Amino acid sequence: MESTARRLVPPYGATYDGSIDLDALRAAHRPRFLERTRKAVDGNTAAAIPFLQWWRAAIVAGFPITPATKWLEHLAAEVARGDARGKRVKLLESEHAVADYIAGVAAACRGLVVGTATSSVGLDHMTESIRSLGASGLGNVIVVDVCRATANYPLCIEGDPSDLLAHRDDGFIQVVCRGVQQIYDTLLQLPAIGMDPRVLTPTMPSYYGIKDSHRSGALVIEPDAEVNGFLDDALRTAEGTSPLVEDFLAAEGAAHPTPPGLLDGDTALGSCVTSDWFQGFKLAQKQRLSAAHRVIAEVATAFEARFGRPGLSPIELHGFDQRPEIALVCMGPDAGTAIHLLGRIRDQLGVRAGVAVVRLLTPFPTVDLAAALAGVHAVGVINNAHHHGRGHLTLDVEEAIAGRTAPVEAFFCGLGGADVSTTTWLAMARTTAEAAARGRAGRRWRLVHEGLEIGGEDLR
Amino acid sequence: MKKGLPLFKELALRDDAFGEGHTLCPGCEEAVTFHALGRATDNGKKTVLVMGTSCGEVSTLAYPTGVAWGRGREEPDQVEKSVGVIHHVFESAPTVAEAIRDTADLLAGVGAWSGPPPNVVSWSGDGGALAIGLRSFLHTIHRRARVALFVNINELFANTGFQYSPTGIPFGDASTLPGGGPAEPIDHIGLSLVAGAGFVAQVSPGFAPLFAEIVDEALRCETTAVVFVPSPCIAGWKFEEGMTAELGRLASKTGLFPCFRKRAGQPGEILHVPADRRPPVNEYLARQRRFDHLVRLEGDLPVVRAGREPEVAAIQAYADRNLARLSRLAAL
Repeated sequence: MESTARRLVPPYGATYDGSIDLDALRAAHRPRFLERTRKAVDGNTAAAIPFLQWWRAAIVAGFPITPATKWLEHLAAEVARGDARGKRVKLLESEHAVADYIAGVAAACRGLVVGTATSSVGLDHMTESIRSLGASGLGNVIVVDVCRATANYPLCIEGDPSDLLAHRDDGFIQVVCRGVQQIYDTLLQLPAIGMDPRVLTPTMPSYYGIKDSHRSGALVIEPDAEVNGFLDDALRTAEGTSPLVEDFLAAEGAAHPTPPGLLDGDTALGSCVTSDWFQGFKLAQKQRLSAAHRVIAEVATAFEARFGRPGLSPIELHGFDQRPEIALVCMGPDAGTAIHLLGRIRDQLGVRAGVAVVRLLTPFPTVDLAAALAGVHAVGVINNAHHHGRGHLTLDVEEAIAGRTAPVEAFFCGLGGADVSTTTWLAMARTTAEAAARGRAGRRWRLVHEGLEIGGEDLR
Repeated sequence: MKKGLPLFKELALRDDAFGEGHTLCPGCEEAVTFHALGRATDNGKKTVLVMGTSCGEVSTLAYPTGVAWGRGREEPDQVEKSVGVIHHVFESAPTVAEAIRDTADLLAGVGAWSGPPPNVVSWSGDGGALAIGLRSFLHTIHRRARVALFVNINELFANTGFQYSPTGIPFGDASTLPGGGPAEPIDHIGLSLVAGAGFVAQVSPGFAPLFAEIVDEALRCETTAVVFVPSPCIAGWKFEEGMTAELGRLASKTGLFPCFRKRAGQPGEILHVPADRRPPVNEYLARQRRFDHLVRLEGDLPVVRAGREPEVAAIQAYADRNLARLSRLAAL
């Protein structure tokens, strides 16, 4: 082996610098895009392209599941064309195996980016391994979730985020995208966030199945040199950054290290601990996830400076420059309809409304959302997935504005990927405006479809 | 390549990657296996060990004081002496090992890894490989991954308290199946062969020279090597101290878990089963209290309990069929 130098990374073991020559991998990369290119692609393709562009994404893995399959097919076809030296698409026998496999790649060499795409019960099938990955510190893992309703009985292959929401506590940074440009731009930023030594947390970009996975749009693709330069610069800048949180394992005063990988290190991952030690590991996991808030802001700023498009924002705000009286908090592609309707809501209902679109689902941007909602008189929260109570998103919004007097109306709509029609948005805005006038919510939750409230539960 | 005893002696002088700090039971066969693996992998190549959840994992990979893997008291200076060890989830060790091999191969293919191909070893219990982990195990073999899969067979889910395992011989007492049941062990050797393994072996470290040969060959195998290690479990089987190696040898001699070795495309061989004086299975059963409801020792002689003759005869019949079946597999 070429000259290697042992570098101690206490208490994780040692790294042998020079044993893996990442420059050789970088040099082997054959760029897909030499200049900024505009193409019409669907969401799955937009999510696949970064893996072709990153020299670090030497291996991707997958198992087909509707509606995520096109992601895998696109990568397989591109690599099979034969001009992808240093890339491999690994097909496995199940989603569980995929999650195990990407854990192995990520642990073998922490300088790589390794990813997959899945959906619905595919993500559920990965659960055991995904939850382990979430706690692993392997921030070089990306699991693209193409949102689709989980739980058969009845089977529904259209997109709602019940899979994503069921995996809130798996330990991943979860980001919701809508539209091909947002999908692509988010992917470009996520490894810079997840692999930052302050964060070291895997990421889960997501977009709604069918509505965004299969809908084509115009995508601006950045040249490979810029895509890789952005990530390399971000990681170089972050290396040795002063810790945001105290690493209970690290030696006193040490900068946050990236622990050694299995191939280039003398180290152990995934050990057993007693419950006494478990407390520290879990605290560190929580602190790394929390540190993502700050790192996202840094990465987003760098992204905008390099590419001229907005970087990842925890929340999109629309109509908030008009001092809205009510706010509709939502996520996913149907937000576009609501944004389009803001003028009509004002004209027909006589109320100024704002739309807050949640992008960063985990860790939830509680502080940002609380600031945005500071002046509104009522909040309508739109939930697109089954929940036992007032909705996943409702619970987060209520926590964000805890102590405020603004009532919160909880809505369910778009379940199973159903269209959230203009009449539905108008009905929800009207109900929220009535809550603002009344000073309290009318019902515990309501299920709205095609403008009609077809079910709900009264307050107790 | 050296054979047998000379190889065993040579391996004994290498730097061991398995050391102090483990909490395996005194008398556990796994510790002997780990020492052999730890020495055999000191072969000028980087070593990565993947452990599925098992006794072997929880007893050797406990942070901060019980990580028993690594050569020397400090991290070695040479990467070739270093050990990367990972525990992922129960049933995934073969897949994770395959991922590590693929990563090393890909890096080597572009000149990013210039050392010799690393040793990539997967360690699973029989539950982790052949019950909950059968999918992972078979598909990694099916893909011909260049990894060495070691499966510890102690016929129980020992780590979690000696529950029934599909590798258990019939009528052995288990915490979830008191008194045992009539099901015969899953055909783990046959499954491995038909899935496409390049090298399949079964051997107890009680046969030390043969064990050294097989470990060494598994590490050299260019496709998937599978090594089943019948492993007497002192806590689960409940036998007298000092009997571990002897029971491992008896398992082979009786035909219940014979030593076996086969390279793909070549005739296999059954070893350490005496053709003329093969001991009856009750010699083996009587020395384990998990079979106390069937056979007991009077002095040094096994005595079948009254009324339990059919079960013992069924186990003997299984051992006979097992040898015949392995003979057919060896001829494939």
